[in-house]
Parts: sequence; structure tokens; C-alpha cells
Amino acid sequence: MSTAQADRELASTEHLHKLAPVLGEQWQMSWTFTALVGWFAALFLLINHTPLALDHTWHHANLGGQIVQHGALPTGLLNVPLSEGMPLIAESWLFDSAVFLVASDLGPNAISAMIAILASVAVWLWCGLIYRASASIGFTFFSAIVLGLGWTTQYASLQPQLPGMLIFAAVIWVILPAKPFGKLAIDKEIEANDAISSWRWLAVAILFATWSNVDGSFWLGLFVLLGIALGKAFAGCRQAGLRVGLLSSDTQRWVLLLQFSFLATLLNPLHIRLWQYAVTDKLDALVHGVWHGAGLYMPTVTGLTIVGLLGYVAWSLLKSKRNIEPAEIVVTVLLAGLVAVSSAKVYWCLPVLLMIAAGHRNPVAPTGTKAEEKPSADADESPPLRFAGTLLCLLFIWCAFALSTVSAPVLGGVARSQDRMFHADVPRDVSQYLRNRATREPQEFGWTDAKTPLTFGPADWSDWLLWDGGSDTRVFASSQIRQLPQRTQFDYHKVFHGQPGWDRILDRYAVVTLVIDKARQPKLSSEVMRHGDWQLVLETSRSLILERVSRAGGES
Amino acid sequence: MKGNESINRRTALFAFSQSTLLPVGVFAAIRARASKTARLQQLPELRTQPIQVKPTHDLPAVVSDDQLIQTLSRLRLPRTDSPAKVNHVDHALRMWGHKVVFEDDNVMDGAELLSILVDDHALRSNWGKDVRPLLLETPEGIRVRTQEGNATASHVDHTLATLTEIGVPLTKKIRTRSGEFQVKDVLNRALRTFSLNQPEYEWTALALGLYADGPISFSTTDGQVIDFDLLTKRLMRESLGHGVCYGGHRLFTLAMLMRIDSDEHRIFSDTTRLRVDSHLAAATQRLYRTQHREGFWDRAWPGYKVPSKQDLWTQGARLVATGHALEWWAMVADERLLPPRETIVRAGQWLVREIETLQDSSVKKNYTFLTHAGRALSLWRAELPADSWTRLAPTLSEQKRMPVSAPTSEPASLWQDERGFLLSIEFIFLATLTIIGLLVGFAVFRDAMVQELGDTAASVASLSQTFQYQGETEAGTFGNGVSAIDYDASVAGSSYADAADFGEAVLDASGQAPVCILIEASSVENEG
Repeated sequence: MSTAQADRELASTEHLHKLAPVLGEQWQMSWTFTALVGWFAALFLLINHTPLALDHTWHHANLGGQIVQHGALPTGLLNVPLSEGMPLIAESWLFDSAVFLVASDLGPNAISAMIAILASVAVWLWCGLIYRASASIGFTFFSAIVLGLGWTTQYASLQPQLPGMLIFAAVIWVILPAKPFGKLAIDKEIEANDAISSWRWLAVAILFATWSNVDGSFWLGLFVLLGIALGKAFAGCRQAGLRVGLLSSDTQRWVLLLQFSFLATLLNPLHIRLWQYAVTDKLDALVHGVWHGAGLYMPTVTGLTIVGLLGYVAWSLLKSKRNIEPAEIVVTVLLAGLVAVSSAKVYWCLPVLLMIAAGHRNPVAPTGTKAEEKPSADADESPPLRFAGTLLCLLFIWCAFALSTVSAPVLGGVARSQDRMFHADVPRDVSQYLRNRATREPQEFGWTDAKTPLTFGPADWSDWLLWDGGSDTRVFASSQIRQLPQRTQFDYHKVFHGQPGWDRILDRYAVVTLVIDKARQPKLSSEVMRHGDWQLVLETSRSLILERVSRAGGES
Repeated sequence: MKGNESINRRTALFAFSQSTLLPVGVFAAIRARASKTARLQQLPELRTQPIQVKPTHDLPAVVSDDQLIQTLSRLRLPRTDSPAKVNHVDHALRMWGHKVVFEDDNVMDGAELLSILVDDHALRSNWGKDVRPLLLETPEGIRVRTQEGNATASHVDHTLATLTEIGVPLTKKIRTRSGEFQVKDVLNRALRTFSLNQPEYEWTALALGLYADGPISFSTTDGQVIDFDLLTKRLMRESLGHGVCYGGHRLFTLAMLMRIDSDEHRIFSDTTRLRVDSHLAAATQRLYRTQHREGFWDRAWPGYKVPSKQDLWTQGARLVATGHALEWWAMVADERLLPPRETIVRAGQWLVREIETLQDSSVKKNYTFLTHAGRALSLWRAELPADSWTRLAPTLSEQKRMPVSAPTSEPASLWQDERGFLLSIEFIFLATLTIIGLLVGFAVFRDAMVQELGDTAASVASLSQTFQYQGETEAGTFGNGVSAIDYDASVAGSSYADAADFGEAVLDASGQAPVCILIEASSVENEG
């Protein structure tokens, strides 16, 4: 070997050694972690490119528009005149306003981006918690897949549950060092201090205050805190008897945190009314749901999934080599009970139960980064750092960014077509017609009240029609059909299914425009085409639009 | 030690705060639920005595005193062998009130009418003991059975509105089959089961308006908060002619609510007041435009298509539309919302004429509509019908006081039929004279026709077909003498003599009947 060559090799080696301190071995990502990042990138793109569906988004955007334009909480649904007088609790007013601003200023692509960011961050946060509990990147990856696929139904529309889920994860993240579920795998902080520091109290208060302005699901967070407090009290009682146990410092801490969080939820424009609503209408709805089949039904995919999950949690607890915290048992039982009465709550319970199960996996060495591996005694024999995984992670992140709609303002490119932006169910042709139609004078039908004439259409279409159909559009029923009086709901269903007397009902409600979904309303379609008072003005592949024709010839 | 004391104090404080907060929290939650239930069941503040909205227009041109008393006398509810329909009782009570006394055994007085509606004993004595009860006890209050046959009310809360309009207090006792209650229980039930979009709501709104002691706000069982603004929007939502009695009841209720708002207490917001004002104005414009030249309206009054032409001109439809229009206009105090006086006069006079000419069977058939018409006529004299009756009844002679009797036989009915004439005898005289005059003329015409036809026959008979012509004979010689030839030729003649036929023997002498025709000859004379 020549000297020059040796110098070059030395220089090359020095260059390599110089790289190590710059990046650090914590930047060396394992292949499992790389796969996890790849999954998140794919999930982000999947969510971002999921066409926007009919439900939720446009209702919240309409409500947000009402709030922004009037500068006050709505007392009724605007442009749904039949809901007038029915109490409306705008429990997600902050979220609604944000959706309106995003949708009106930035358009549907921004809505898609918002959904993708909120959902991905929520899943990421929960996976972080699961990793903190299990110290297993493999189990975290598994959880990421379960959560990512389990929440699929949430990806097609922007709904307040998404930020709610995010805040829920943040709350757990903040309180986790206080050992709500006992000693977890890797957090050194947990071992250092059992107490809840001041900033955590403040953070929890801020999170619950935000949550109570964003979504009505904040009570689920308090529900979990209640379970933890009960578990702590039970643990105290078991250790030191009833009196001491109930008044133990651990019990006091969690009870006070629960009450402090409760007080924080009052920091919203509705104040105590929000809770009045929760213990009356929402509780009634929950009970009503139980009687009408909203509870867990075993022989379904959801039912089997929930049972499987609960079985897995139970198995994890039974096989666990670490002490089982009573709080874990109580929270699991409470959540299982909740899912039993309302299977839709599985979205909320899933990550918590996964986290509890994760805490009882057999202790394994963390595999997330190479930093967690014990260094070799001889540094020279340690394998060289390999950043291929890191580079791949960066590549995944870049691809996710570049291929998503988020990058459009930076990278440009061709905008998504409307067909790809919206789900095929969105009746864009109907809203276009309503937006461009000539103004009808209700007087020609004998109505004197210019504000009354309505458009009757499928309730799930109506939010979109209100959003995109022009400011003059007023609908019979929106997706919030429970905001209508029962009689009106009954009448809606009669007309929707073309039952006898549908025409008289439309007269009674002063309906001028009739929008029909041909696939779901075949009877009404055939009935209305034979009716002399209605004239077909537009037919598309899936819808009919009819206008009430002027009734000339009645002059005496 | 200090540390332990501090911990103990903190624990004691925690125990104390929790033992306080926990019951408070539970109590608050129970209270929230209870307050929601209470809110849903809470009814508005009501007055015991309903508001009495008085008519203000006195226009004798619409109906004179004579016309009014004659009309009203026909609209008393007769006492017949068959039980009176509850619907008829309801309308009769609304028209006459519960205090009217007719002093006529053939018709029902106000007290009797009222008792049938509010006392189950009276209903059973009228309908028989097996009749299903009109008033039913329910958890929400007293329900008036509706649209379930002749022994039930015709419209939702119509009976309640009737009791309200005639001034029955909420504390008035009513007797059901299960016990004694008050009118208040009927109203409570109506409000507790009220839904803004129920098909019939005009009478509930009217009763609420008259019993309300100011602006009201109450929750339906759905949680919908109802006030007069929302009720009014509902009343104005449907097209003008849609609904019971071609939308007449909604307009009447609106007019009454406007009067309550202007005369008693404010129940509308400013916006609603303007909207009601313009709504009533629009309805008046339509009525003004669509009035028939004879003075009536029909079901087509709002100016839109009706189901069939046959229905368009039925008498019942005219009575309904015209009676209700005059009735709600009578309660409108604001002249801006009324049509020209001529419109009202023509309508009133049409109603008077129409009611006068109705047969008893038609009165019975259209009784409910006619009560609105009769009440409207009285209201245009600034009176309720009972007041008009009290004032004018003494002027009505016994002969003219025509009780609404039980249905009569067809000949008798025919005899009483005065349609188109002041008196039937007048018609008979006229008809007889006409026929007699026609007989003379026809006889002369007949003779002239026969005479001329006879002349024509005679002229044809005078034609003679007789003719005659002679024969010809010729004889001589031709040739040169050597071979001369003698010849002889002849042809026969012909003739025809037309002999006289039957009747041709005598000529048609001037001043005489044609031959063979004896115009004035009687069979007896012939025989003789």
C-alpha cells in the first residue's frame, strides 16, 4: 500500500469518524422503525387521497359558517327552517369554525390535508404511547396497523372526533409519567417521580378546556380519569384499608386531577349547559341507542373485533409478569362496559386498551433505535453505523409530502380533479343546479312568505346542498335529522319513501324543489313523474330534480 | 411532626371537600335531568278567563236587520229524533254561545249545546248510553275524541277553541266517564301533545292566543320551543288555499292573534307583526281579485288549479269560502287590510240570498259551513249572533220565525220551495195566464195553418188532366192517266176527360173552410 493511498484511506476513515458525532447513533433507524415510518407515510397518503364523503364535513362547515358570520353560537340550524325552536348545542363550535375557514378559504384539498394531518398525528401519538408502554417497536408497528385500519371509516370526512382523538392521546401522554397504569417499560421519568408536576396539571387543564370546545367527546377523557382514580382508591384500600386507602395521596392526586379537568371543561361558551346537555340529551341518546341496537352485537366483524381485543387485553393481564394495577382493571372494565352499550365507542377504546395490553407484554429490550443496544466493550469492533433506514425514512416522509395535496402550494403540480376529490356519492350536479337556478317566486303558488319554500332531498345530501347549492337554498332536513321535531321526521320518511299522501305533505311544508335519489327512492321517483304538480327539470345518472310547476288556470 | 400534621390537615380537607362535592355533583346531575323533564312539561302562564275579541265593523249594507234575523233563525240547531252530530253541536255552540235561549222547543239552547260537549251524561242522553266517550282521560290531560265518527269532534282542538271563543273559563268543570275535570285539562293536553307540524293546529293556536296572558314560550315533548312568532310562521307557511276550509281558519286565527297583539298585549316580535300584516294583505288582494261578480268565492280563490271543474262551482264550496272570508275580515280592525266595502257588501248579500233559498235539507247538509256564514254576517253588524238574536228576535213575527224543523216529505218540501219567487202562488198565476194566453194564440195559429193547407190542397185538386184531339182521312189518284193509282189514308184521334174526384165538386168558397175539412165540427154534430 502506498503512502498516498494510506493517507487517502486515513482521510476517508477520518471523514467517517467525523460523521458519527454529527448525526449520532440515535439517528440510525432500525428496519422495523423504517417500516413503521413507511406505514405512516402510506397511511398519510391513503387518508389524504381518500375522496371526501357526504357526511359530517359539510354539516360542520355550515355550522361554522353560521358561527363566523354571526359571531355567536347558533341556536338553530341555519337554512333548515323546520328545525327552528329545537335546541341546538354547538359543542364543537371551535372545530366547526376552523372547518368553515379552511373549507371556504382553502377549498376541499385543504380539508383532505386537514383530515390526513389530524388522523396521522393522532395515530402517531397513540403509537408513541404504546411504544412507551411496551418498549417494543414491533408491537407498536402492529398497533399502528390496527389503529390505522380500525379508524378507516373516519378518513373520508372531517369530523371533530379526529382532534378529539388527538387531544385524548395528548392527555394520556401528559399524565403517563404519573404512573396511571403503574410502572411502564422505558420512561426514566416515571421512575423518578410519582407526583404530577405543576406544568402537567396546567397542560391537562388546557387540553381539557380545548377538548370541550372542539368536541363533545371530552367526557371520555374524564371517564378514563375516573377509572384511574377509582383504581388508585381501590389499590390504596387493598394496601392500607378502606379509610386510609380512600384518602391516600395517590387517590387524592387522581381525584383532584379529575375534578380539575372537569372544571377545565367549563371553560367554553356554553359553560355548565354543556354538562347539562351531557347528562340529559347525550345520556338519553346513549340509553336510547342501547334499546335500539347500538350496543355490542357479537356476530359481526365489529363485535368479534371487540371481543378479540378484550380477550387479548385479558390474556395480556393474566400472562403478565409485572404487577397488575387496579386502575388498569377498572379502566378496562369501564371501557368494555361502554363498548357493550355503544359499539361505536370502540374507536375511542381501541388505543387505550392496546396501551394497557402493551404495558403487560413480556419485557424486551427496546428495539427502536440502536442507542438502546448495549455498546460493545471494544468500540473498534462495533459495527459501522448504517443510515440506510434513516434515509429510507426520510424518503418515505418526502414521498408522503410530495405526493400529498399538502405539497401543492410548495411544489405545484396538477390539482386533483373534482371526481377524485369528492366521493361519487356527493351530488355535485344537484348542488350546481341549485346554485345556478333562477329564483322562484313563492307567490305564484299562493305562498306569501318568501323565506319559506324548501328543497326536499335526501337528508344526507342536504348538508352538501346547503354548502354548495347557493345561499338561497333551504332544505327540509339536514343530516342532523334529530334536530327536527318528531312529526317532521315522520313526514320526512313518508315523503322519502313515496308513501301515500307524500304530495299533501310537500304542500303542507311549502316545498318547491324536489331532489330524488333514484337508487334509494324508486317509489317516489315513479310517483312524482306521474304527478301533475311537479315538472322534471334535470335528470342525472343517479338523481332527479323536479320543480313545482305554476298552477295556472285556477283564477276564477 | 409538622409534616405529619400538614399531611393530616390536607387529608382532612380533601375528605371534607369530597364529602361535600360528591353529593353536590350527584344532586346537580339529578337536578339537570329533572329540570329538563320539568321544562318539557312546563306550560305557559295562562289566564283563567279567555280574551274576548269584539267585532268592530257595523255595516248594515252587508246585511240588514231583517235579513240578519231571517238568516239567523234558519241556523239554530234543530232538536230531532236522531242525535245531533257533535260536529254540529260544536259549530252551533261556537256560533251561538252557551248563554243563548231561543224559547223554542224545536231547537237547542246554548246551555244544552255546551253540556253535550263537556258533560258525558248529556252526551249519553243524546246519543245513548253505549256511545263511546267524547272526553277521555289520558296521562297528559283530557283528550277530545276527534275524527272517529259522528259522536266525535271534527277537527283537532276545535272543541277547545269553541269553548275558548265563547268565553268559557279554564276552571269550568267538565265531566268525563271517569270523573270531573276542568277545561284547563283539555288545554294542557292539547299543549303537551302539540307538535308544530301537526296537520291541524289552527284551533290550538287560537285557544292558546285567547288564554295566553302575554307572550308565551313552552317546550313540546320534542324539546321544540314554541312561541307566537313560531306559531305564526307555521300559520303562514302553507299556501293560502291549503288546509281546512280552503285556508280560512288559518287566516281567522291570524286575524285574531293580530287583534290580541294590538288590543290586549304584544305577543309578536316587530318582524313577525310586519309579516302577518303583509300576509293578510296578500290574502285580501287575492280575494279581491278572485271574487265572482255575484259576490261569492269558491275553492279556487287563491288562484290556483283545483282538482276538478265539477267541484269548482258546488254550493258548499262557495258557502265555505265566502263565509270564512267574511268571518276573518270581520275580525280585522285595520282598514288597510280590508277590501273595498263593495266587495264585502256583495259577499254578504250573496250569503243572505243563498241562505234564504236553501232547503232545510241543504241547511242540514251544510250546517257547519253555514254557522261560519251566519256568524260572519252578525259580526259585520258588530255583534255576536247571540246578541243579534236578542236584539232582533222580538221583531220576528211568529209566522216569519221559521224553526229549523225536521226534514219534511218531498211534496211538503216542494210546497215550501220558494226558489226564485217571492211566493209560490205568484208562480202559479203567472204560469196559468201564460198557458191560457198561449192556448188562444195556438188555436188561431192552428186554424190559419189548417185553412192554408186546405187551400193548397184545393188548388192542387183544381188541376184538370182532360184533353182531346181529332183523327185525319185522305183519298185521291196519282199517275199519268195510263197507269193512275187510287189511294185512301186515315189516322185516329184521342181524348181524355178528367172526371171530378171526391171533394172536387165544391169549390173553396171565400170565407169557408176548405172542402172535406170541418174545423169546428164536433163529433157530436157529425154524429148528429
